[in-house]
Amino acid sequence: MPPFFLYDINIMFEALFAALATIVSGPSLFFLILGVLIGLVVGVIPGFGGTVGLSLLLPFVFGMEPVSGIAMMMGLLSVVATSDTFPAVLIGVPGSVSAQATVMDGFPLAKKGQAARALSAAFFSSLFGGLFGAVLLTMVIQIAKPIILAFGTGEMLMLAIFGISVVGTLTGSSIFKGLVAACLGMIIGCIGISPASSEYRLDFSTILEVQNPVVMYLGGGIHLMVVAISIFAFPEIVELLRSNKAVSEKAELEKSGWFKGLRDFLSNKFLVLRCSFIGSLIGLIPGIGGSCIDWISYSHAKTTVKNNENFGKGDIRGVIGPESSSNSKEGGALIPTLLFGIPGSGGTAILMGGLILLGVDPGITMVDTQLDLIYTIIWSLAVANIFGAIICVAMAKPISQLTTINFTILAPFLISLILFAIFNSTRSWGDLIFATFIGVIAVYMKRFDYSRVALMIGFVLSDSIETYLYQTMQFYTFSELFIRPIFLVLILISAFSIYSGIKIINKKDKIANTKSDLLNAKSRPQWIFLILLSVISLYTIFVTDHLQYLGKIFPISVGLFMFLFCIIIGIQMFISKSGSKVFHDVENLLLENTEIRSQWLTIFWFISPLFLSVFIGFYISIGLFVFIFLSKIARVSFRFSLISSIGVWIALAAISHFMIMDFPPGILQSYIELPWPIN
Amino acid sequence: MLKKILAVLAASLFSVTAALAVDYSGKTVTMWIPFKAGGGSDTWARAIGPAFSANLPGNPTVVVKNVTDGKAIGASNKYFAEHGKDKDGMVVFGTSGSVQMPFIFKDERVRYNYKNMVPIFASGTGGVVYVRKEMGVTDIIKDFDKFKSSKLVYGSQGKTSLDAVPILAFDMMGVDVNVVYGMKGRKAGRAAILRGETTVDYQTTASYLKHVRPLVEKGEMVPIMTWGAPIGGKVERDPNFPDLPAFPEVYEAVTGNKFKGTEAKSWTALFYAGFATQKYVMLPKSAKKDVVKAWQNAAAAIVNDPAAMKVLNKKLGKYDQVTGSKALKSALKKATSIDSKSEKFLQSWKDTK
Repeated sequence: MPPFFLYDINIMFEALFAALATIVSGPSLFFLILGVLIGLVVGVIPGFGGTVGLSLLLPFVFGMEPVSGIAMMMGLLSVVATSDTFPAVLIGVPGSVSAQATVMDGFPLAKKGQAARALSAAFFSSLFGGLFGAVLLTMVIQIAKPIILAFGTGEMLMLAIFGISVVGTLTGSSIFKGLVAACLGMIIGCIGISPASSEYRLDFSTILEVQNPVVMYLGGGIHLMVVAISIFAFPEIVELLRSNKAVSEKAELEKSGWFKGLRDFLSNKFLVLRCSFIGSLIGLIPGIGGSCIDWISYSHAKTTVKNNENFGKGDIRGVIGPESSSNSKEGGALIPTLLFGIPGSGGTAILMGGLILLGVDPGITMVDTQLDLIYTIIWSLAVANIFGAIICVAMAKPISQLTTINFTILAPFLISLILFAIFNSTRSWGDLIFATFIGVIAVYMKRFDYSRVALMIGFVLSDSIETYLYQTMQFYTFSELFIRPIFLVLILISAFSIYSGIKIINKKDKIANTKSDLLNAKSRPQWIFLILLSVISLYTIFVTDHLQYLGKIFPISVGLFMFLFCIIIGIQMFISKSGSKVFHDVENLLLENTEIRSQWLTIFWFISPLFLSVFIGFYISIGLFVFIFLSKIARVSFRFSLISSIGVWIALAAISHFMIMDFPPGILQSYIELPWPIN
Repeated sequence: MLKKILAVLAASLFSVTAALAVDYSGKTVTMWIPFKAGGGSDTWARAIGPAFSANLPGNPTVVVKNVTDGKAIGASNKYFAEHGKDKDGMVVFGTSGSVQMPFIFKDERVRYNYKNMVPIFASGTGGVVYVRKEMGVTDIIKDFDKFKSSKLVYGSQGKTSLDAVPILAFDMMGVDVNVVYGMKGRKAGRAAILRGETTVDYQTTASYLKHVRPLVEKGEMVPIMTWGAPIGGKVERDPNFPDLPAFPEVYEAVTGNKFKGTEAKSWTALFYAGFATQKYVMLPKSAKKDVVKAWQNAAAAIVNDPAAMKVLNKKLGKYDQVTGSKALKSALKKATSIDSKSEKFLQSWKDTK
């Protein structure tokens, strides 16, 4: 077969423009915009990503005319990764999985009063990424087959290892603390059914009865959004509540935020291009999943730009990089979906279900027989991105004003929103309980400089590494593996990534040594936390030991490494003097500040609605919490508090109605039968 | 006077029967699906949902509720905890092979019991085994020695999933297949054989027709057998693939043994649970008689509606949709119960290797 561009370029262009005409004319444009609007809302609400959004659409899609249905689904899917930036930048909570890395620099920028700049730079990058994905999809859909098939399990394993290798570039000043955090992430990732031996691991079934609700919950594994939200949002919100200020440290937002964002985007065009390419490429390979793409491109941005000292403290390039890739991955992920019927991401998996409902069968024959529908999908992707970006840019400035309001007033709404988002992950009590656990650990990780990013990356890649490691060993011999070119190239890239990680840490050492002795002072809580981490690692080794070889080898190895790293940190802490970089306790800096609220008090506020829910159910308790918090702690007027809590109730009822979801009931509900929605 | 009393009595009787008659008008009926949106069972539920809506008395809105709390087992347990004593049929349960398999393998987490359910509607499917062209096997019976001596690698989701059917089948044929675990679903298995990392694979009929048959036509893959279809109480050739032998037939030809005994019985039990009648719509046993009847009538009406059947056949392949109290009961019994000898065998087989 000659390359496609030699023999049917005319046919291709004809089909391409015919598809554009169908999209922008008639009812499909209406459905596209409807999809875009739903997608924007879904992206903004933390915990709802494209996966949830699309599954909401499915019942409506059934029976629609195919082009309109495709337009609506693509409209939704294309803009989620754009609008999920709002909460990431404004409140430090990723709106969906693809905004995890945006939090790193987006939120510090908001603290500097530059929320509008960060948002618009993100939207332009996202727009470019989306269009890049669409163009790539158009160009390679007919020739992508060998590329995708060249990535065997060995290559996927190396990609996952490459993902882990970026931990070095993203972690704090102590490499061992970063490694401990990554191991902890992998251990959390091991919870649930083991991929190779189908055994239940780390679900407390050794201590509790198997039908205990905790064991049943953990048997399903901990959901990604539960970890992502609790690890990032929980400590940030606790910290903001303690300081009792607005997110933005300046009362006035900086002027010309919108335009500045565009300029940032333009002056970093090559970074945008590179990150878009990374996003599409990794999206193209089914099996690795979209959740580590933003970290890889964040690390790429950090290692390849000049003057990267401000990364993590509000460098606009730390927003531009991951935003370009998070949206370009959808175009990439569509290729295996359409070509083989094997979805490359969570969102495209549901999209495929929707396409089947519409009577469109994605698969190997689609390229030959339904090329027009493929172009419809591509155009929907492109047009939706443009609409989505325009709307988001227009909203950036007004919504940024939120960051100037005192956080104590915003807090009850955010806490309700976050608890709701966490609960929505698998809609069970366990989500809330384990999110609280992980959140509290995250507060201390932040305080003692254990990298939370490392934990997240470890968690995300845990399953891939274990699965592919085992499969690679089965499929290939050592010598077969080392003649595969892509495998070797990936080894080189990983080695380079580790090298740059070491370089960055050395640089950090110099900076760390100039910091105040107070920050790096010895303190007892640091020891307690380290001992707790060692106990977790030993526990992991202990309770997985009875499993089959294939089920236990991975958690035990990770546990051993984690214990080893804990010992190293312990020795360092033992022999070092106060002021050494192995010590780190942000709390020391805050001791003199008497206006600050106590840490445990704010944590208690955070979880108080949960205690309340045990008795009166989640729905009643959330509104009550908003009311009590606003009137007693934020001390706003009675009227405002009342209206706010009723507003929250109405909003929750609406969501409950449209999403067919029930809220966790309390003891009250088990005694008395109550009407919707308080049942 | 007597007339009056009779009239009142008749009126009250009439109103009682009217109150008893099932009427869902203006109501929303929920199908509880213990799987993610967009997957096979979800697609199936969303396809039959509107058909039930059109055929139930009062034409209720039928919505699908995807419950994923605790995965398939947890979500199924939850259904019985919350709706196991319902009488009104407002929330029905949709199961699949992945709910039946842990029940058959007696996973200790299972709290549901098929004895407490009334089947309303069941859909079956089949499966096709295929190999890569390079193996040079075109007829598994004639080329069996070639097949047996080839490098056989199979990508599996786990021994107690639907993959118990192929893995036990390979064992019974006496072929040495290297089973690589950790595949995330049959899609991942298909991806692996496309890459050439595995050499033998199977797909359910719908997926085979859509994704593998084009490759067969291009000459990249070769189908060698099906799991068969239940015809007249036996597992016979799948009518969708009359040219391919069914597994029992292959077994008899290559081993020289009759398809009998504990192994064959166990395999057949797994086949019924995983394929023959794989997906069920069910009500809890506590449901009122006329509720059950209303649902069963609706199911029968769907099967007689060619338009609805066209949609279903397209999604699931052309297999029997089982309706009618008797047929359903015997199908469900086959799909979920197992004699003690086979059970013992499966339990020890599960732990080997």
